[in-house]
Amino acid sequence: MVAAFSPSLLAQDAVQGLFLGAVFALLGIGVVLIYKSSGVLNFAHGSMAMFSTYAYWQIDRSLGLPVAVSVVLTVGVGALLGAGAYAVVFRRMREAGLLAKVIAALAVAGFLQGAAAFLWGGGQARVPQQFPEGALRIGSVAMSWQQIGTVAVTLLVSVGVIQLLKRTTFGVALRATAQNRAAAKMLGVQENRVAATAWALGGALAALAGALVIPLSALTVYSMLGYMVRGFVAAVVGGFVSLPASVIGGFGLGVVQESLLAVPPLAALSRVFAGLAIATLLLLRVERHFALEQELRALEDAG
Amino acid sequence: MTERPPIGDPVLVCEGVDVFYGRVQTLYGVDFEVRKGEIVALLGVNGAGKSTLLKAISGILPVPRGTVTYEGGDVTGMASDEIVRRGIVQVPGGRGTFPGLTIEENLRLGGYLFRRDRKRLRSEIDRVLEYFPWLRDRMGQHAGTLSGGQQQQLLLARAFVSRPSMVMIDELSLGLAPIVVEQLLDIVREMNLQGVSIVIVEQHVDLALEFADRAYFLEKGEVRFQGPSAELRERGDLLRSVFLAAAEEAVLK
Repeated sequence: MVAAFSPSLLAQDAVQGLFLGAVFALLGIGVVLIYKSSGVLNFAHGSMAMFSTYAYWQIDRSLGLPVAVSVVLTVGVGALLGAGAYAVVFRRMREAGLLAKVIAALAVAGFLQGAAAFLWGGGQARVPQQFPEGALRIGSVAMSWQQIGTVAVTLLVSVGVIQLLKRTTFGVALRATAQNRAAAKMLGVQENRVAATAWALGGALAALAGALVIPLSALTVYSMLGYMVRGFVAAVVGGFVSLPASVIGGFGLGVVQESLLAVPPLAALSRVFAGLAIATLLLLRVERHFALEQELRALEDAG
Repeated sequence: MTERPPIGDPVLVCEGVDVFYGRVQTLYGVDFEVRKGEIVALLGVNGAGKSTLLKAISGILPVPRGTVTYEGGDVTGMASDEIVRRGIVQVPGGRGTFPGLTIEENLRLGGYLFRRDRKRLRSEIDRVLEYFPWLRDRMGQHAGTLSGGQQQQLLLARAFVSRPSMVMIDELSLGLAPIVVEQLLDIVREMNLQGVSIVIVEQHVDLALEFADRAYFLEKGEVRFQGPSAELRERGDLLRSVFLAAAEEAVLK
């Protein structure tokens, strides 16, 4: 039986797409921050999110704290993971090539997966929602409070991080380092401190993404990998430079990918859409519309 | 016109400095000295090791052999931010601005040392802007949109925000019209009058000897000769022939 196209089904899928898109955006921003600060394509990003979400499960189970407090602690775990990965591994690889850094990131991912399996047995785990059960209904379309909360938190956090990069000395130093590393150092910018902060921020956002999305699915050692790939798609939209473009990219990918499910002849494309999108975006060099030419060149030189 | 302060004792002393780029040695036992309030030119063809020496002093490149002291303290192999704190700022060569940052952000980074003291940062930037009044109206503009000469002015402005006691300038005149270079050198001279020691890397020998008190000539990573500019000017033919020979050799390679 082939399902018929229905506008209300499309709307419902688009709503789910907004929710997933928020998660892609959170991961995408973190990937961009980390790349700008240290030239690392962080293929450990999904594993950092996964590990932090297991920590969320553990904190919630053992400490019995209010959920909000557990989430704050979880975000702290993510920040420590990020800063730790930089301090232990990537700080020593400042002068290494892009490929060496990618391999190191894969090694960190493997380590975190192994550690999570060792610590928590690798079985499925359920983690608590941060927002109430139930849903907001408009006509035949329902959006659960967890989904609404995730989108709202993502928008708030995105605006916050974008402002942080725009206004604070840390933000200016991070952008300067991405554009001309040696010149930044010649002015006294401590690149390791800037990079460790960016990694901590990226790790914190990954933890937040995991804590928000996993309550509506299930936690396994591999459950964040698909999200990470889609976070990378979001980052590609901004050429690994632009945060606003990554947010737009994340939401856009989520909505398109899920909406395809409601269009019967195209539904099969939904699962492979992220891969198609990455290839297309790279071919079109879409990042040119979002990032300054000089910024892109600086990053290419650095790579 | 301000009286130029007398040149003092050596403040920067490099002794027997070796530097490597990867496995390739680029400096061989370089001895180099700058006195308080002095202007020193570093001459030599491309690849002679001028920029390398500056980067080694700045802490951008490691110094595996030899020593660097500044104002009596050993700064060999110190982190770049510590070098800046000691008062040495390097003006990078080539495109040295942060093109995607605004002029204001570029200047703000020049005062990175005072980042926790907003008032001080503000007042230091204001002080520097008195020398570059045109920057004031364009604070929100991206540095990448400025002309080459304007970008070099911004680099100088940025370098002076942190009140350095020594500024090392890499290739100030590269690709700029002589009149623009003159303007830039006037600014550097003005800073020097206030007691800032200057090291300037320059391709243009006549210009450099006109401007500097003393000059070093580097060739293939070694100091070939050094001396007061006046003396080197008198031996101009010798200098030019050495320079040309080195340049020719570089071209033939």
